Amino acid sequence: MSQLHINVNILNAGVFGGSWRVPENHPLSAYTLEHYVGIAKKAEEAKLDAVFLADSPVIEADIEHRPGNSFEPSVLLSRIAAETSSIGLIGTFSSSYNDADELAFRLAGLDAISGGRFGWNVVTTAGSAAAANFGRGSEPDHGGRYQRASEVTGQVVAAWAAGPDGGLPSSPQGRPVVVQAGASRSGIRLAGEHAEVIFTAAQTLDEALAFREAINQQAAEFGRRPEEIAILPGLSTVVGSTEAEAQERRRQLAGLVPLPYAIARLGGQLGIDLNGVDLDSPVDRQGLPEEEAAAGSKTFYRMVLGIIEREKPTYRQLLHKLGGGAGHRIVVGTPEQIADDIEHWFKAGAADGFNVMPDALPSGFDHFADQVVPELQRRGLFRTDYTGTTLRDHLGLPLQPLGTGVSAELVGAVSQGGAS
Amino acid sequence: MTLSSRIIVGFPVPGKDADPRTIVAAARDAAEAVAEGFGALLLPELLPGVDSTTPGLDPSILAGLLSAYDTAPRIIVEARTSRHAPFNLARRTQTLNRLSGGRVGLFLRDTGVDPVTAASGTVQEHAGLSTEYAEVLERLWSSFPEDALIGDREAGRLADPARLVPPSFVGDVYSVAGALNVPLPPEHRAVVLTEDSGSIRGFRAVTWTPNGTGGPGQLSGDPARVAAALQEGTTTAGWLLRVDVPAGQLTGKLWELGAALGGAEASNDGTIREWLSEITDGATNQDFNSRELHAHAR
Repeated sequence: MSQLHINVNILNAGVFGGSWRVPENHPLSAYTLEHYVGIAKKAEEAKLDAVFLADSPVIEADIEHRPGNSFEPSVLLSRIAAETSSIGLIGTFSSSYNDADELAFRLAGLDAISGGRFGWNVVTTAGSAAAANFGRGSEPDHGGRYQRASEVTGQVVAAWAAGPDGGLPSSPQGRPVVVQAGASRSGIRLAGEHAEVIFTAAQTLDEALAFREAINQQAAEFGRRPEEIAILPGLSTVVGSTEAEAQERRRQLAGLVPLPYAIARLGGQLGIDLNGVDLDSPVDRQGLPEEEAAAGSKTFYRMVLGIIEREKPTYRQLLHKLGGGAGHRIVVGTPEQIADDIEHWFKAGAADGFNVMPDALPSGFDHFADQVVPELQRRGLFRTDYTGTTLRDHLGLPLQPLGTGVSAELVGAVSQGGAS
Repeated sequence: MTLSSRIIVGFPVPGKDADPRTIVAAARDAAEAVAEGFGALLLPELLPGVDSTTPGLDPSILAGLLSAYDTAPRIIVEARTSRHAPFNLARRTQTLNRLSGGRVGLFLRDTGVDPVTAASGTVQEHAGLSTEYAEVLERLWSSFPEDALIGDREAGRLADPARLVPPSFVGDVYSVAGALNVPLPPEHRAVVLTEDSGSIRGFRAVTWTPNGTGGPGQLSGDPARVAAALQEGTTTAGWLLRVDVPAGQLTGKLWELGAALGGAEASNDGTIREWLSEITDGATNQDFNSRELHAHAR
């Protein structure tokens, strides 16, 4: 992999809690079709690998203060497929709340009609609110969710590999690409078993390198080739024509986060009630549970703990640092500075590329595509045109052997068949 | 309302050698022919390895694709209760109606409980399942009115949660909290059409076999004879017409039949709700739906 891989994560109105309030975008843009189609077309012009849609089958509790996931991703991506020709299409689908047979069939159709541009981001879907939409009084426990994820992913991938023999359309890319996010121990195990692309969160280069090592070991245990797994950390971008301008935009975005939302969200991430807490007092590290005891997303909890231990912030400083965002690393600067950061991580082996999460959408992605991408291309780090037609082509990922139980000879035959 | 407007055209099972590209091309052509001369296009849900020896495409994926084209007809997506948890199906249908401006309806077939619902461990009861399923769908579709979106940048309020109407549904089979996360104006909501002896309730099924001799319930021969039979037959709301040809030949047959029906144009304007209301002679969508659902429950 000699060049970067870049996806744009169309995180509705943008990564921060107040992204939807920036003056240059319509506040309800994320509820329009044009928003998603427009960004996908722009991403295709910029020769990105893929658009990425996060998802959860639930209405978010914080909808009063920020946009949530809305359009169902398989339907939205089929519409985007009709309006684009090259850009990869990665959608998130829950392994807990979909049936493997139905999901394999539906997504194989999406892959087929798009000419082999589809990737499935496997998530287990945390939270009791989603569970209550599917007849459950509470969510399955973390271990149970991941056990089902492993089984469901195995079934879906096996169905894709069988293709027409199992009544599914054949895939123009051999099989759709499997993407995974989530870096708990169970998440790393799932990634090692199935993932071809990993969307992760890392605040420091050392964290990212350690994560890659963990993935490599886990993949090897499943008999897979670690060098053919692309690790793409999330990267929140705030672009300015000068550093001062970028910093000013970052401050503006922090100020736009609705405070009730920010407090509730951080409280949820930390597992404590922050109502009534003095926001200007230091975060009480001793009062927080250890990572494995925390509820909710362990990946983000670990990252927030890391910030608390390194920087010893007040609650308000921590709120500002997170920006009401998802806890991904934020880079703020000129196009050259952001390209420097990306190049540094890439050359250090900490990332094969990034899942870019612009500060506000669509405007922040325009900044990235118009200013940062050309700088990366000028440095020879990013393609100036597509060399293939499928998502697998863009990512440079050959078909890897199916999980244990499939012989190397058979897999070789499948792989060659898929490439023809 | 012309006779043509009362005809739902069923998209055929893919032919033996059909690949997805062929199916998509045939669906695009059929969509155009239906938009210009018939009431609605039914996209069937074909189960892999069961209904067809050739791979099909999920109808909601195909409908999403067709929504991109200028000449798109009203579409009815077929779905089996045994394949989809209601929340997932409600969300895909609502998304299609957001993309199409309310042009998509659902043909719901009662085939039992889906695996995700069954895995919740609380499901025993099967009688009247599709009635309950349809009620969950209707309540989810109306749970996020478009006007709950405020977008008040200055006040920092995106939506008004008080305007959401979460179903908090607990039935014999399904238990669904909601609300749905896809907003929609009321006039763009889908309708649920239910099954009655191999057809859509209210629509009499007929199969045209242009190249065959015709068996029971089939019409054979040239388009003029088919047109005459449709004009003479009686139905509650209209016809569900299936044409026994490979998908790629459907469009040609539709143009021929359209001409034989007198070239009477079917209006392609309006939502799926408006269309159904018109062809059921002024009964409101809700009336039609409730009556059909009620009849189904009996």
